[in-house]
Amino acid sequence: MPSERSAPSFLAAAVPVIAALALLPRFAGIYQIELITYGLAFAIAALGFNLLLGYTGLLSFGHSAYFGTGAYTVAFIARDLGIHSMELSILGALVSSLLVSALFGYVCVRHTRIFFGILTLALSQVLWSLAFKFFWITGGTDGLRVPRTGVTLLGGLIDFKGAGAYQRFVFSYYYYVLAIFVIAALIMWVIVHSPFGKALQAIRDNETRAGFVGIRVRRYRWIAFIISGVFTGLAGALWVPLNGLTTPEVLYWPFSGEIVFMTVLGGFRTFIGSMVGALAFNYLKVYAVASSQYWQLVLGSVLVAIVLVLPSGIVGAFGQPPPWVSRAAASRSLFVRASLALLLLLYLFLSISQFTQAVGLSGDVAGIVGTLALMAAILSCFLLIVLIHHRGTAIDHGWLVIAALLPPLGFLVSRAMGAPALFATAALGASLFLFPIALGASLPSRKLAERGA
Amino acid sequence: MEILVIQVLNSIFYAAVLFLIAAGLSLIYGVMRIVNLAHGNFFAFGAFVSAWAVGGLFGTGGSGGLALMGQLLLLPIGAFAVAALGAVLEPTLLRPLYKRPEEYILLITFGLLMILEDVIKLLFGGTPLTAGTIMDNMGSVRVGGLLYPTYNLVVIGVGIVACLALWWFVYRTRFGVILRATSQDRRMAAALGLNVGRVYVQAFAIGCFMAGLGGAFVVPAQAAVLGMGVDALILAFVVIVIGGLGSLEGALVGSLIVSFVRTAGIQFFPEVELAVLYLIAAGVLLIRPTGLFGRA
Repeated sequence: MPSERSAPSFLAAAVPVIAALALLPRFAGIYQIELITYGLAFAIAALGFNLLLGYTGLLSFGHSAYFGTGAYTVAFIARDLGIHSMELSILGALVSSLLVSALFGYVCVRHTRIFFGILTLALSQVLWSLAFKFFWITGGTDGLRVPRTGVTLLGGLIDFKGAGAYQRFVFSYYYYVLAIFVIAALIMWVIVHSPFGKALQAIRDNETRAGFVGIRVRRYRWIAFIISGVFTGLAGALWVPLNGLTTPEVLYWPFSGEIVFMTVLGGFRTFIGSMVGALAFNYLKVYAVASSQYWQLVLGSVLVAIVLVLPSGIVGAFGQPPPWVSRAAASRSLFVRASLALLLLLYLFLSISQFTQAVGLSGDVAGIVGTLALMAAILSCFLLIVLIHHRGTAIDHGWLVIAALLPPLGFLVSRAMGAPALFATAALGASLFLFPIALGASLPSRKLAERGA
Repeated sequence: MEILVIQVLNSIFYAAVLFLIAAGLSLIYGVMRIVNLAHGNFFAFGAFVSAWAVGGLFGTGGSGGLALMGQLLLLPIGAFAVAALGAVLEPTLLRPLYKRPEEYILLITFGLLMILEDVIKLLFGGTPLTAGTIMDNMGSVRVGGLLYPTYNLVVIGVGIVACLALWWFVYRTRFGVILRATSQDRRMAAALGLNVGRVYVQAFAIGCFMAGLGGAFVVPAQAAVLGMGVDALILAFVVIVIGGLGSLEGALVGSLIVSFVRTAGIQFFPEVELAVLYLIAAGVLLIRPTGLFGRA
């Protein structure tokens, strides 16, 4: 179930986050700001996508079409009409993605489940092949350039020419995207909590009953599809000036898969899940691409791991525990065993990555193993936190948290000291030493049992 | 006239390869209700394994009848490798998810697609691999005044044989009956004492074998390159959507339609050649969502 929050509590939770995001450029470097801007643009797309998946129960495998429509519209407007105002470009992108998603959606909502997915996929590929083949219009695989200097914000008030334009662009564009993101998230929040949003959830849960209550199922699905497409188109429009270029890649179906990935990573049964997932996915992808040429292997492994052990996603794991977590948390001995197994995983993966470094194993395999080991370590840390959260006795299991967090800290220190071989061995010994402490974590819970808690 | 004959032969060659991929995809969907997004990469994996084996053992030389026989016999090794891979992946990755909503299976096969793409790159390197010696050694036949590679005719033959064998297997053997029974009603089949888990592994492995066979036999004619799986998957999707998800007859007719439209498209309307295929698929889904041969 999407979280049932009232408007004041939602705002109370949102305001600190927005404030933190607004203050971020004071602390973060220019590269980080740019990354988060990308993440916010993708978050808008994931927000739109999740209206269909999480709230209407339709899995679209063709949302690249609307992202690409938005992106190409901005590029066409800049090139053919010579309009550089971002507001007008966004307006154009909204209209064009509205038209495309209205047309495609009218066709697609006649089906559900797997047929819906394949139909959205097929239609998005029509757009991809057109962008791919009509190179004299779309630039083919070269794509279309939308240079930073060709964009003005706020009706021409801010432009990016002359000295220091790049810095100015990154900072002003960050606030620009942030503002639009906040507005978009607010609109989406209102939509999913409106009677219309409730009707969508009713359709998701039981189509037949929803029909009997008097909801026009197909019409509602169509409207949801259009809203979803327009949000994704808006994201595409915002993404273009940042990327400086739009290519058929954003229309090709693996990009649709990435949008699905983001949403599932964050958790599609919660409102904020898709946004968290988009930001996390963006970091994940940038990290994977930077650390190994086999980044698809890394991303694919993360996706497989998430689906297997954390099906409700990052955010969903705190609200709705995965089956194995609730089973483990309900039984004391199973809880201890599950925690220990996770600690062992963490320990194994960290020692693997340290081993490849200490031995001096280099090349592709070492890169992949190291990256995968780090991902697995992060995942097992996260799983431990989830386990402890659902245990509801976080303080009593403080040792477990410390045991989980100490090894990576030790390795970080060893890396910072610049002596991996020596410190790696020391860190391995330290984490070995941590296991008895982790075993001792069952003692407080026994004390708790004596107290009858 | 000769050009027409050659284009028809090309279409049938292409249809044979496409049928091998799509039949596997369709079989897996029909029995297990899984849309396997990694299927195209199974095809690519088979192509790479075969090209690597043939190229590694025979190099670029090895002319003469005996070497050719050896190469042809070695070629299907890719199919067996992919079948083994499928037999390992189904029980480990897919089986835990059958109780969950179908989105998760779709996602895990998408993850598998990404992993396989890079595993291929890691094992075989980023450069294209080819088993072109087979094609060179087999020479060509005369079609009127034009030459046509003999190997393409072999592939057409393999496609026909595979089609007949699959038909015989599914409709004329005891295992085929079990397969069809499981696909119609999984719970009933289990209640009657069939080991559904084993049927699933076998069906998945056979589906993978077909994809690998397609890859193995395409590789002497076209080099195995990275990204070939993703492209092939979409065309195989178009095929089974037109023919009907889960139907073998549909996969046959669908692959013939797709390859003839594609050959004609490249000749007459190259710009919208791919778009037309996707539009046909979308149109079929709209008018007859079960495809030409699918069951409701």
